[in-house]
Order: sequence, then C-alpha cells, then structure tokens
Amino acid sequence: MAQEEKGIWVFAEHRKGELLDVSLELLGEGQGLAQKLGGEVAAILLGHDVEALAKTVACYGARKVYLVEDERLEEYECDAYVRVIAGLVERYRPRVLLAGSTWKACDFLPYVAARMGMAFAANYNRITTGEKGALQLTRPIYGGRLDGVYSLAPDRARSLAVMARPGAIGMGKPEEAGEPKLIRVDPLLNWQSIRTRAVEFIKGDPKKMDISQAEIIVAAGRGIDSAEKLAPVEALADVLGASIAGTRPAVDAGWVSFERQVGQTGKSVSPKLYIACGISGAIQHTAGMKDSERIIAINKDPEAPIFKICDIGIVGDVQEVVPKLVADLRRVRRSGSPDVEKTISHL
Amino acid sequence: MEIIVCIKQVIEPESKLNIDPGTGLIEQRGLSYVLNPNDEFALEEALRIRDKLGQGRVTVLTLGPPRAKDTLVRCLAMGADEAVLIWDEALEGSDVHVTSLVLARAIGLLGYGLVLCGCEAWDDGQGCVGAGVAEGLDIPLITRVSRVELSPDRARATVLRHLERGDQAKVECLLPAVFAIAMRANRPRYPKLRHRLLAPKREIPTWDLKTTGLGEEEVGCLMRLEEVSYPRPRAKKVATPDSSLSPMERLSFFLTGGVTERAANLLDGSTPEAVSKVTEFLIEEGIIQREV
Repeated sequence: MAQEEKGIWVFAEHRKGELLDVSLELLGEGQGLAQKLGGEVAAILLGHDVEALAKTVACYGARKVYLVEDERLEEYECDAYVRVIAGLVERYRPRVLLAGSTWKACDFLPYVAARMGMAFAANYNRITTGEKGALQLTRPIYGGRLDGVYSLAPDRARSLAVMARPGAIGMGKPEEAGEPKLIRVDPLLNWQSIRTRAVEFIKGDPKKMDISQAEIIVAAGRGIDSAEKLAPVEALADVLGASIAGTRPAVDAGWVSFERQVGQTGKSVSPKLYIACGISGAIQHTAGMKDSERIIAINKDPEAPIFKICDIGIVGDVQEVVPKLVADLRRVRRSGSPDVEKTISHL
Repeated sequence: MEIIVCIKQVIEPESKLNIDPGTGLIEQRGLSYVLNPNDEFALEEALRIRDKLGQGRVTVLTLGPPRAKDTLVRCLAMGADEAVLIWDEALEGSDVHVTSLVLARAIGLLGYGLVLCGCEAWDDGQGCVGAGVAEGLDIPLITRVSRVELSPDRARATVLRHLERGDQAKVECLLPAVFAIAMRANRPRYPKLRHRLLAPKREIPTWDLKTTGLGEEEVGCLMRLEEVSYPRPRAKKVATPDSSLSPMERLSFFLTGGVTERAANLLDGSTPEAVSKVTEFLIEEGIIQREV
C-alpha cells in the first residue's frame, strides 16, 4: 500500500550558486501550508555542488532537503529534470509541490505533474482545504480578469503541483535553523536516454530586451534636448550592457520608442541599476522606477527632485558628464558591451 | 511528415465577461469565440515547416464542443490540410489532465512526426497541455520555442527557445517531439478570401470518446472549476504621513507621493572626481569589473 501524501515540497531553484528569491518566498508559503494541511516542509535541490545551499533553505523553513547532485544536472535539460523529480515524487510522495514560475519550472513541472498524475496549476492565489480535506485553490484566469475556484477530485488527485509568480508572495525573514535533514538521492539517470540537449546559450541583447526585465537601464529625459544628443546616453548603455529607456517627454519627442517608456503611463521597472540622464524626477516618472536597487542621476538643476531619490547624483550637463563617464568606464573595463557568450555553463 | 497542431477555441479576449448567478460560472450567452491567439503562432509555424519541406501534412486537432468547428474552419482557411474535432458529452468540463490524455490518444491514432501547440490558452492560462501530450506519447517537450529547423533526415530538430531577460538557448532534440511555440515567434498569415470561402465546405470529422479508444471511466478530471468571481482589486499602497509631522512636511509628503528619499551623494559634474566616484561606485556594486 502506498504511503499517504503529506510533505509540502519546494523546488529550490538556483542560478550561479545563489537561490532564487522566489524559492525562498515559497519556503515561507510552504510553512503556512504545512500548518494548514499538516506535513513537513522540504526543499528539493538539484545541481552540481549545491549542498551548501541546503543551509540557506533550512533558514527559510525547510526541515528536509532532498539533494540530487550530478555534474550533468548543472545544465538544465527538461528530460533529466523530469525524470529526477518524478522519481522523487514517486518515492517520497509529497502532497504539494511548489515552484516559482521561471522558464525552468514552466517547462518541467507540468511534465512531472502529467507523469505522476498530480493536479497542476500555473500560478495561484490561495490553497485551502474544502470538504473532507480535499484541496481547493483559487487562481487568476482569463488574463487575471476573473478568479476561478478549483477543487481537486479527492479520490483521483492525491497531490498538487503549483507555480507562483516571483514576488507575488513576499519574502519571509530567515531564522536561525539547525542542520536540515539531508536526504541524498542518486539521480539514477541513463544519460544516453536524454532526448534533448542544450548546445548553445545566447545572451539577450539589452537593446531588444523588454525593459521591465532589464538588469541595468540608462534612461533619457527632457534634458537631452534633441535626438542627436542621445548619442552619449547610448554610448553609456553600450559600455554597461544596459537597456535604454525614456521618460514620457523623451518618448513623445520620438527619441526613445514607446515600449521603452518608464513611468505612470509606461512601464514600471526595478533594475539593479537605473541611470537617469536629464530627468528631473516628476512623480509621474519616479512612480515607474523608484523601486530600482540603485539609482544614479545626472541633471543640470541641483534642485531637481530626482536627486532626492538617487544614491549618487551628478550636477552637470549630460552632454559633458556622460562622455567623461563613458571614457572612464572604458578605461577600467576590458571591453564594451558583453559579447554573445558561447557557453551554457549557467543555463 | 505529419505535423499535428493542437489548438483551442476560446472566448474572444476583448469580450465582456459576465458571471451567471445561477451557475457561478461565466455567462455563455452572447459570447463570441476565436482561435486562441497563442495557437495562431503554432499553426503558422507548422505551415511554414510544411511549405519549406515541400511535402507533409498539417492536421489541426481540438477537443471542444461542436461550435469549435468554426475555429477549425479558420485553421483550414489559413492553410491546414486536415482538421479533426474531438467531442463527447463525457468530456464536458474536462480539465487539462483529461484534455492531454485524449489529445495524446488521438494524435497516436492520426500518426505524427511533430506536434506543435501554443504556449498557453488565454482563458485558463495553464500552459500545460503540451507537456501532458508529450507525456502521453512519451516524447520530448520543448517550450517557448521561437524557431524550428529540421535536420535533412527529419530525425532531429534544432530549435531556439526563449529563457528570460532576452536570453535564448539553442536546443537539439530527437523527433518526434512536442514544441510549444512562443508568442510572436512568427507573423501568422491572414487567410485569403478564396480560402475562407472554400474552407467551410471541407468536411471535418468529429471523433467521440469511443473513436479514441478511451473509456468514460478513464477520463475523470483531477480538477474542476467550481465558480468564478471578480478578483478583489489589488490593494494599493497608500502613503500615509506620520501625524507628528508638521503640516508643511505632510503636504510635501503627499506631493512626492511618499517616495522614500535615499542618502543622495551629490557631486559637482564639473570636477573630474565626480566621474571617477561613479566608476568606483559601479565597481563596488559589482556592476562592472575592473580590468586585471
């Protein structure tokens, strides 16, 4: 007789040796669910040399860590991930499997769910229990215009695999935790039978990327004056590998295209670094960029409100300061914009 | 080569969605239906592959009520060679689990060299039927595919897939496989008038559950939509000034929209140190690396 499904699992996803925020958010969420549904929070950790991360997931609430290490798991391969995770599910039978809706989870989680006969939901608002302890969940449907309440068939759907959007839950605080219970699992993979193979990684071109996904943004405002004077700003974006954005006046004047507008009538962005060139900082604009991790502002007017929300401000003309900054950055930096990386090491 | 495209008929995305108080579900009256926007890219990709090969056949397949035939007709007008509708009363209200199961079974009966689908249906936003079909047929799956190239012997394919932040990966894969085609991977063609006029005259077979060889007991849903509701409006963060502030400070608080000020470090742009301080800051933050 199969054992009863109990555990609340979180797929602990990591990039370049660091756990993704969404996985940490989900560990907090998992604790809440474990209180409601019973069971223990566990993390599943796949990769090469990732044991060190077990400590971190424990601090965010995982009591158990299923660790699957193999150097070939470092690169994401749908087939391999599906087999490993489905194998874990089959053996240890979680009740809920949570993952952030990243490109990896969007790929393997529905496949795992289909293989293991788990109910599946791409993003959700709430998981509750209905009559007789059957799981119920509420999730946005019709592009978020409606909420749908789904109930799981108690006899057929023994377990549930769900994804959550990064940032939708909010991070809990890490707590001191002892060593988690580490369960090492052999991937037991026949690598010959993996039918897909990633052969090349192509770095995104910041000039074409959606600005809401950009890591670094160089933005132009009314202070730029004319399309010809955008050149230094573009040079700065090139040297930093940044995306170009603009305020509404810059977009209206046609210097920057509309899909690159930041602010109330444009997009909200929260990059690692936002460099505002010739932007005074009206709230219509700052509403869209105030959550940037670091802000550097360059503006002629020392009284400009943008200087109140920036980490570093330079009072001066963009046309004079930016070329100097570009020259200085080129001096310390090997090359200009990052080239296409012919590596798949951090896939 | 047999290319199967799985499509879905959905409510026109611009329609007004009313809730029927009787059932707690969407009111069906007066709705119009279209081909799921994401599926258009899958169909277009299939047609392009076929046209490039100069041979092969594109079959569109859907599970849905009889009205879904209209959508299949549109797919035929766009250039699909065949269309099959699967419908049975036992499939009413079927979830993604059942849908994938039935589609996979039907695809097995039709014969396939490649299966394409859209990334997700706009109505339920699940994006998992492609995976379910891949599992049902036990073939590989690649999602978010933006370009497909077949090897000359058609035994394998090289595809480009979107990852995140504009990054892409080139993936090699054995065929047959399921590819979920990314949004805007191509520009779907607009059917010619002649084809639109001819398409409704084509015969579209309807398969019931028995044709697929599945029994009613095998198509039990895992999940059922019980009711829909309008989402609660998202809580807006309202900046409330501290009552201990002076009226002047409170006013200025409102005028700034409660944006938190940062410890701004103002530098004079006319001095050479200004620029080097920014460079130092960027190095400290790990944005750029100093040349060694």
